[in-house]
Amino acid sequence: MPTFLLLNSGIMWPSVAAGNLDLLSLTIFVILTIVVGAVLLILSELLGPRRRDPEKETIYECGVPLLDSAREPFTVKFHLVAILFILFDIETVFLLPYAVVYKKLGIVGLAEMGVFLLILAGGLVYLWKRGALEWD
Amino acid sequence: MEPLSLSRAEILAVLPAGFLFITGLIQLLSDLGDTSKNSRHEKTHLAMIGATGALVAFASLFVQGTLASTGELYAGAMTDDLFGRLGAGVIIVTSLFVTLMSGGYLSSSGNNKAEFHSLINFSAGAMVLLCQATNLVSIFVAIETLSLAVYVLAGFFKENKSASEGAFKYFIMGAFSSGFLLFGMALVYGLSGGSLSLSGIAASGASSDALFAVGVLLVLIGFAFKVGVVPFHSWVPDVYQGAPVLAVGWMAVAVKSASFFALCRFLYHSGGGAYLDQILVALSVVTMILGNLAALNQQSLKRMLAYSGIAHSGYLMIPVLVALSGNDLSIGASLPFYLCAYAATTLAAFGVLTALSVSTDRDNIGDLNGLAKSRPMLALGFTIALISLAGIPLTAGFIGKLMIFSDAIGAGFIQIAIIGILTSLVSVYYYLRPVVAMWFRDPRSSFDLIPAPWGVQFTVGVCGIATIFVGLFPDWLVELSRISVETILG
Repeated sequence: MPTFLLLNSGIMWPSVAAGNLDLLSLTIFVILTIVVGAVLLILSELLGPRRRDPEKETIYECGVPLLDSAREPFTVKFHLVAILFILFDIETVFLLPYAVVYKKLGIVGLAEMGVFLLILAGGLVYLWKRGALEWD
Repeated sequence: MEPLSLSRAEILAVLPAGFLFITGLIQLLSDLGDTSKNSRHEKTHLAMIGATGALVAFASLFVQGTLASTGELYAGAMTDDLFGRLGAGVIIVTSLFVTLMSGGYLSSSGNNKAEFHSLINFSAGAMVLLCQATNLVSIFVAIETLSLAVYVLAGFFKENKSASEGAFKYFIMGAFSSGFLLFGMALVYGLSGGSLSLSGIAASGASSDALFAVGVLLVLIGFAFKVGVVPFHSWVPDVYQGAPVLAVGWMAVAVKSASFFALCRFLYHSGGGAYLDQILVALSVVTMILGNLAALNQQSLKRMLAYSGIAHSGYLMIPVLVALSGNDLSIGASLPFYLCAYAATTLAAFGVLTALSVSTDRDNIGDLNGLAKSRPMLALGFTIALISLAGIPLTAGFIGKLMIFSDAIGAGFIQIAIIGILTSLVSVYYYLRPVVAMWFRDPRSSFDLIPAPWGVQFTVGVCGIATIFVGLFPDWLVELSRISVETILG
């Protein structure tokens, strides 16, 4: 645990009780971070060169040249894909905490996760058969 | 930490809900071969799977083999007491009848898809869990699961504009009420010292805190939306009119029963808080008066039953109030009894409405003209249901109202009992209008025969007989209700 040398060398810091040492170091760290970040930003704003051109003013689209406006109607099928993505994303989210405690949960936990995955697999079969995965 | 293990009681406790969920999945997967857009087949196999699943789930209610509470299971998330099992029984039997009726009804409108059947079973499973839930998280998860399924059921006829409007309204209001529920639960959780389980909340002794009372009140509002208590009832008539009749019957019986069972369990554990008694009195009185008065002038049978359902929510608030204020749970025995009677009665009524709307879109009182001549058995069943809803003797509804009002008088709530009796006198007028139309008017034309699928005939028959039977021999059900409410606190 990091402590300040000054604090340990016997100099009295009147307002700081012994139990608050960690908090003090943390406060100093936060203040330093903010100050350094702010100074760097301000310096680059003041000293840096500035050359505007139309390419730089366009909306950033992962480096690809801009085609047209973003405010366009898009097909509702994306919506379904997004929902399905969230569904199976959540499945992963539930699996991760299980990985931490699977030994403690034992065979019962394994059975419960099996039921959970089985239900989701049933859902996958359902939407596959219903044609939710086909684009047309 | 010990390896996770399940006790026998824990496994047995989830069997009913588990069977319902599995049934829903099987129904969903069994119908995948059918890819046609327009489904007009009756698809008997779906009803068979659903009926089998419901019967197995019903049988599994008895395997625990004890009337006493099993205590807290799954680390306090649920319990398996007689109160929960009684609620589960009502819901499972309702799902059985709705499943039997849905084949004929859905195929007539070209919408017979397996999704309807499996959504009924999914929401039934969530309702069974709601009846057994003993912890804030499991209550909320069960409510959300059943709500999501029922939103879809309400808008199941996608081509129908008013159905979509009703479903959207229901969804918005339901999401809004979930917000109230969650906010209230957060307050209750915080003020009880971070306890999620209902027994922990009861033991924390936080109920004297004013903010705790606010939390309980917000939870009450969340449930009031679900059961349609005035002033949180505005969605009920629109949704009832737009949604498919069977989904409406399912909402009117199962959603209301499950919500009342859970509300009861929550309030009995959390205690009243400071002003809850007066708020319950106000809610109950306003609901009884407005529900019954608004039903008087309705021409549409669905709207009439919607307002009548609101009025019955008002009656059902009385036993909750009486049991809470007197700190005597056995007084609240009229609540499970009334819900059982209401389920049988309302199912019979919605059976006839289903028959009426098979292949047509009609639900006016005038459409019933002369039903007694063309379909005497349906007319008889509907008449029994209506006089039971009105609370006329020899029916289950009469015994239920008698219990509620005599308990209220016994506990000193004489004004409430008088208002209840007066409003149920008013209700006789609108309940008897369809009866007059069925028995004393002539049909519009002799070709105007209302179809009656076998599922509807079966449901109306069984529920009509059950209504009369409980009205004549109520003792066993009264006793069962009394024992069940005594198991709530373990």
